[in-house]
Amino acid sequence: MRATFRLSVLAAAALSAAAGCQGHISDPTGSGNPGTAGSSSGSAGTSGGTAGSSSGSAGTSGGTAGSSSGSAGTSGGTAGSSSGSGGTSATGTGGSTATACTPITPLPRRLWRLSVEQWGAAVQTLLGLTTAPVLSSRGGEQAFAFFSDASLGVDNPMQFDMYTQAETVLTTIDSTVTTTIAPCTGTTATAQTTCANTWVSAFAPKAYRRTLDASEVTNLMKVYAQGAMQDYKTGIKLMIEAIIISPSFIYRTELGAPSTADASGKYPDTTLTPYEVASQLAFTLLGTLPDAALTAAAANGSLGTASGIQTQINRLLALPAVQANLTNIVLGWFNISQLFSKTKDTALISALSASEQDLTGIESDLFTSTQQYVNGVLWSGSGKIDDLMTSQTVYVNQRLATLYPGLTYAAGKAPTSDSTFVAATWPASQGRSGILTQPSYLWSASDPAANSIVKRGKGIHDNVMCQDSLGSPVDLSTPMAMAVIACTNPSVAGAAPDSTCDSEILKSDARMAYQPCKTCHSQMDPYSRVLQNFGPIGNYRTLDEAGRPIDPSVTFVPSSPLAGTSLTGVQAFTAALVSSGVIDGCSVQQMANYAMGAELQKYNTCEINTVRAMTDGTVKSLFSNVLLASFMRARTGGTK
Amino acid sequence: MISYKFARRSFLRGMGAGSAALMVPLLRSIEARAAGAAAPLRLLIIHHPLGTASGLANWRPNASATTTSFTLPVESAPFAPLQKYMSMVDGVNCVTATNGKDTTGNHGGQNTHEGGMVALMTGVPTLGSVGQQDHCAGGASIDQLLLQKSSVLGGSNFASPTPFQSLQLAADVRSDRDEKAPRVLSYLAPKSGVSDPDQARQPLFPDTSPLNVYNRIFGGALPTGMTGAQILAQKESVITYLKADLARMQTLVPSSEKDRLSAHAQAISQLESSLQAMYGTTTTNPVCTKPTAPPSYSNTNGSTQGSGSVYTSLAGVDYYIPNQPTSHPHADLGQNQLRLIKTAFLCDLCRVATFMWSAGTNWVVFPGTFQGSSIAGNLQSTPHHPPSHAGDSATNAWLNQIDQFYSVATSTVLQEFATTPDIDGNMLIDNTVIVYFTEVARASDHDQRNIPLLIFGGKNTKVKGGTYLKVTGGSLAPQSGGTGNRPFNDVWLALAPVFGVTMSSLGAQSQYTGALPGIFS
Repeated sequence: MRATFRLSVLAAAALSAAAGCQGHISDPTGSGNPGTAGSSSGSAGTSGGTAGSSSGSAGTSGGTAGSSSGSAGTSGGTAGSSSGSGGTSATGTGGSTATACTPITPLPRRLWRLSVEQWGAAVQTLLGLTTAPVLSSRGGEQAFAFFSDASLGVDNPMQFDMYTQAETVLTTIDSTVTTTIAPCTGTTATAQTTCANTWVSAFAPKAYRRTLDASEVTNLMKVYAQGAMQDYKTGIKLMIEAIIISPSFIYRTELGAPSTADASGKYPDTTLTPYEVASQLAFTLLGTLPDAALTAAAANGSLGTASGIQTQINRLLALPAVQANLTNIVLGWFNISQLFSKTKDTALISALSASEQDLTGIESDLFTSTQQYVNGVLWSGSGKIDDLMTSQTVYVNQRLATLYPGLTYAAGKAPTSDSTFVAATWPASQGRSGILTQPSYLWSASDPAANSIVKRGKGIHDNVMCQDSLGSPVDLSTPMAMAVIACTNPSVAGAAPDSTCDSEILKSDARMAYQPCKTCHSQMDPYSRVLQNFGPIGNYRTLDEAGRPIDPSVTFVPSSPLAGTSLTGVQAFTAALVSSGVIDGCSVQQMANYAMGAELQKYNTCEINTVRAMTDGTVKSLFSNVLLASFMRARTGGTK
Repeated sequence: MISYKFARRSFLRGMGAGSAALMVPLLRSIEARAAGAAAPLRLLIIHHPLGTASGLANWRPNASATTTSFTLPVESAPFAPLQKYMSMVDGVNCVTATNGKDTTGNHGGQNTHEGGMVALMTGVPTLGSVGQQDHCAGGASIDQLLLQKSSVLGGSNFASPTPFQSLQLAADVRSDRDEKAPRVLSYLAPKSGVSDPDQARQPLFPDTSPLNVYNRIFGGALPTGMTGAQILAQKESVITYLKADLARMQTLVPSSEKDRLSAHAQAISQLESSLQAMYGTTTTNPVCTKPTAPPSYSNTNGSTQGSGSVYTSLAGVDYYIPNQPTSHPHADLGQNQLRLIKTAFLCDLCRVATFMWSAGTNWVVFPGTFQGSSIAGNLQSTPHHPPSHAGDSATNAWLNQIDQFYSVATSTVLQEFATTPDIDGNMLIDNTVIVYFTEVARASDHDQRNIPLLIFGGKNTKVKGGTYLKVTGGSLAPQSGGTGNRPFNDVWLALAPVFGVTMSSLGAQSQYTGALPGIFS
């Protein structure tokens, strides 16, 4: 019931979003009437009420978002029900809306280049290294990217960098090659060749995540032979080098079983092989090569069945290594790592002693703090995505406790050093709520000395609400745009500025009031304005940068999933995200993006809707259902 | 300086038979040239950012100038020492076009930095755009196109290709929103069978580290205990394996993956060339001297700059290091890159190179008071591009000084091209066509009429040196009104025959009329 509630509200939102900056699905084929967005009022009201719901493999639904009023922290309502199939229409008890979902464009048979981080992790796993090698050439990959872009290739600098890093790796493992990695008791060339052949026949399949054909082993042994002219160890090392910088290592294949093109040159549509499924599960959940159990499941074919995949997912989700990786994926969803690229005005950290005013150190502390926060919610707490948005917990060391004062500690145990983090609770008076008020998030989405309503707002619009793209920003150098930037009505020649234009809020007021900025910023900025009580390092404040009292009250525009809702402050906002199902619905889309290596451009996507309907709101259910979805394995054949 | 000492017999002896066979054509090529054969022609395309400020008056000669009698104003004056090698072209316009969905709605990025970079370098309609202004190249850039088509530029389609074929270097690549269009000069042809324009384009991202470039093309120090030839033989066996692995993969993938793997194959070939530079080949070429290793430059700005939709998260090296106002890392880095290209040309490691001082939307930070001019607002320092649209006289004067800075920094190294002997006894500039261009004509409003353009080259390049070419007779509008200008592609159509390539058209019908006469003899 819970899941279907989420779906219905968002389907209604998707329809209403048709008036946004860029086209949305607006071609309802059903006969239902558009739902009516709910509204709420009150100083800290939240939304709730009755909503339609849906179920079915590709059903869509609509309904009337409820309304509420009154005190903070309340929500509720009764979910309606509906059913649908084929993406046509549905009816909810609170109203009816029909909008066709968009089917996912099937993924093609493809290669998927490992990300720089995945390449390093795979080398580390393969050779048992203490630390992973780090490539400085990213082959066009953006630093801090949420997911690995499947379209990237290997350019000249990256290939050279892989070689350079491989040389360093060979130096690192030099003393263990013949003792641990590839021991051999033989002393003759023939005996050592046998050892090398046996070893590489086991090592290379692990590296390549598949079986090798005989010619591949033969080719590797030619490499060995060249190195063995010097000695056995050199031969082994040379093979290791060849393997870890080879195309078969750097690319995941998603090609399905070998097939033959028809007379028109078209290959048949297919599905991933069990070995390719093993790689998919491994690089999504472990962030590195398949472990032994996954490889065994590929070898015995069990990964060719849904039940076999489910078995492996269940096993993997219990592993600490997987949980640590999923925590980092969730951190990536909220762009937490970007805090490392954000410098800050030192005046903002003046509460610290001079020796503690180390921005890099603070950034590292903040990352650790939020890592522990996500770990705590997902793996020690409820495991629910919703709770990520509402928890009052923060983890601090001594430095962060100084920078963010007023915390309450369990059993009064405040941190006594910078090396140990302890759990604490935010002061109730600050009105914080979940990951959006974690200092790391606020730090990463702010400018050096001021909040950025635009950055925070766009980040929430795109990544937390999962609203469809706003399209391209306007040219800021036009007279119209420059007038709005100066808080002036661009339609009135010679108009005086509306305000002193000396704060983020006043600038946002102008953006939300006047074109060419209004269309998009009226959608983005409200999501950020609820966070105005938190400054550029995540510090609590009651006055803005111009010294005026902060009013975090907003009303969301019709294109928002929270259409028409009026609320005050971030606690009311996150409560609405939870009660409306927005955050759970968005989490499915984001994790599907991650697992596919491609960004879904539409919220109202049939297959994702189906997954949304199946999840129970926990992170385990989220990843499990995304990875079990058939679109993850189906591939179009392509042409010869 | 370490002189290359080529020991052919010991080199070949130390190699396996197969590897040695691979190397012989290269060695013969080097030896033939060392024996007095004509020097090869080269092509170097240099980009500098943000056009002119406050307009052409500071760039082109005044109205009384004639084709052969003219005085260069302040922004182009630093090239006066090279004037006898130089043709200044005045009257070609950037003409953009698109064959795909253009999210900006302005026809492939007309009058934008981003659209200009792509249109000028490729000359063909874009595939469409993504993001705010990220226009996706719809064809190979002119340097790569000529490399494929010319038999004299050392491309892989012809006998005796040069080891690295082409280089793509930059001093800085920070761009608005980290978009690719303004931070790339060179492209391979788009991937076939891929509909997404972002995924279909094939940018060749420039390398911004001179030390990486040096290690890659000239090689680092040899490990101890083995001869270079022994190591090279081992590494060649790895390369052979990589090629076989890639060839196997090519047989398995659909057509939509073929181009990606072809680009990867080139990367493996270039790794092979790097290994040969590191461990093996040296040359008797008397003008090829291994340079000293350049320094490693630390990024002076590793944090996100800007805000809203005008920002960059890329890292780079600024005009000076904070707290060291007399340092000039941006200039030093860029000049080191150009000098690496110069040596790579002399050693015939490649004959084609592109170099960009910065992205078209330049985020290199300059002092607020620069060479005597102060930007409006009394700023201590600021990135180059963000304030460039202001259009006020103080900002224009500041921009003007930066344009002069890039002219001086470039001219300094190009003068070295004019004084460095080539293998045929002429100077390197006598065998090198050098194109110096920018992506907009005027910084403040992105006007792309009368794109500032200089073409250099000595006696074997056919460049008509000492020329101010005022284009007339075209159908396009100059900045001053009326008609007479021609599309920029007409320059590329004129350039192609210098390298033995016949091209009668390039791009959409609006993007060319025919080879522009007057630049080359």
